[in-house]
Amino acid sequence: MKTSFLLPHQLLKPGLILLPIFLALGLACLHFDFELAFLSINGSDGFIFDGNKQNLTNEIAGIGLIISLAFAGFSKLKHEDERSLLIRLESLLFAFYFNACLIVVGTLAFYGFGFIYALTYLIYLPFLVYLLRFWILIRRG
Amino acid sequence: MKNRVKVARAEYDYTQEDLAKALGVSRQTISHIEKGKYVPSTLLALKMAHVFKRSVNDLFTLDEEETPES
Repeated sequence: MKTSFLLPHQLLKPGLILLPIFLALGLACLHFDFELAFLSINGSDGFIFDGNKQNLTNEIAGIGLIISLAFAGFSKLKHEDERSLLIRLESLLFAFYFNACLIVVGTLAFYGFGFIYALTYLIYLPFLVYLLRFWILIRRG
Repeated sequence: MKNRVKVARAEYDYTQEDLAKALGVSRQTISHIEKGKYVPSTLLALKMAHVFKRSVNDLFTLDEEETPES
């Protein structure tokens, strides 16, 4: 694994700070239809937004969550070395298998609109699982 | 695989932090190598041997069951 694929170390802290904020915002949007009033726009039949009224809270939450997950998960550590790279690779594989199992369970357990909810979780879960496993193993001294 | 990194480090009076700094790795990596939880790459083993001015074979040896039959 090349370290050049990793993001600069300076992005780690912003990622870790923004992650819980966007995670909470995303969950609030998904389950409680939470919307921030100042993010409402009057849409027309445009290229991106269709319909009369749109609120960008869930879009901001989704994009913010994926960016903060990438910052927190793929920024170089202060001492990035061969062991941390190995843990990254193993954690990525673990997260992939974990997600594959959840897709199987989700396909069998959820139908209709519930499956869309499950898919929303499945988009972000590999990142989260990777991040959790990576930090647990890297902290184990 | 057995290793004598901790012994060599003690002989040189190095802390794990000192050795980590000399090799450009984290202190946790040195700790895991000493405990046998992590097997270093050839490059890192050679660097370690260079720091301790001895051969890689002096620092790392195969267990009996790991040694291939000749």
